[in-house]
Amino acid sequence: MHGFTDAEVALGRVADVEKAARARSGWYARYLWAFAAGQLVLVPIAVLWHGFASALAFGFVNTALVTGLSLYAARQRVVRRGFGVKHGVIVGIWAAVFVLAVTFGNTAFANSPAFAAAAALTCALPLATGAWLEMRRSS
Amino acid sequence: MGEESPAGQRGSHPRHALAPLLNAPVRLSVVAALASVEKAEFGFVRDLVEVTDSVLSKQVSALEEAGWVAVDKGRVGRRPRTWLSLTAEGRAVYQRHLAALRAIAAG
Repeated sequence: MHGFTDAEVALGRVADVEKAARARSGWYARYLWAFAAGQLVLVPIAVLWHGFASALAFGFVNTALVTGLSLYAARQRVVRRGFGVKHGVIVGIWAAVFVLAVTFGNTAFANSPAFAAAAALTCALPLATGAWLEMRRSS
Repeated sequence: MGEESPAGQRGSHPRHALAPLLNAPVRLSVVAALASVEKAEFGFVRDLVEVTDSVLSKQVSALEEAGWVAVDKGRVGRRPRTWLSLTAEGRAVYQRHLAALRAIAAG
């Protein structure tokens, strides 16, 4: 490959293949959107609803969400670059916010629908931000 | 890797920086497919590059022998899965190859 035309063709092909591979790793954005949506159900259950039925409902919804997302992730054929670090950071931030939301929601702001709504959105925010950034990266 | 002048010195033309192993279009496409991801399943790369299992297997073996591609075999449930990824060396060689191609294309 000595000519500049050959080089341009090769570069064009490489760009197409890289783009296609990157687009296929976009599943992680959908994963995070679903995780974020789950917070809008899970957090109000954890903050507003108390007792055995609440624990049962929370356990059921949480198990369904985690199982569904895990199965979805396991079926994927491509893993984005830096997946482990990015996922660790996003889930770490979400976990810290979730613990704070549930703690305050059951103490200082017990039975407050306004706090429950704000907490649900706050818990969804790191996941939604990650999903949005991921969509931009893989498009 | 590159050609040498009669005096035994490598020329300054950017083609001397090309990796001969990546001059084959299929091998370059395989490396390009892996360059933008952490790892990809064998079947995904096969479909993306549009080659048969045996062709991809042969090209991956050559790249693995050069130390540029790593092959990991595993299972998801009962399904066997083969994952391909670029090594750090493979990524560096690919970047140098692309830089040389850009220099050639720029004339």
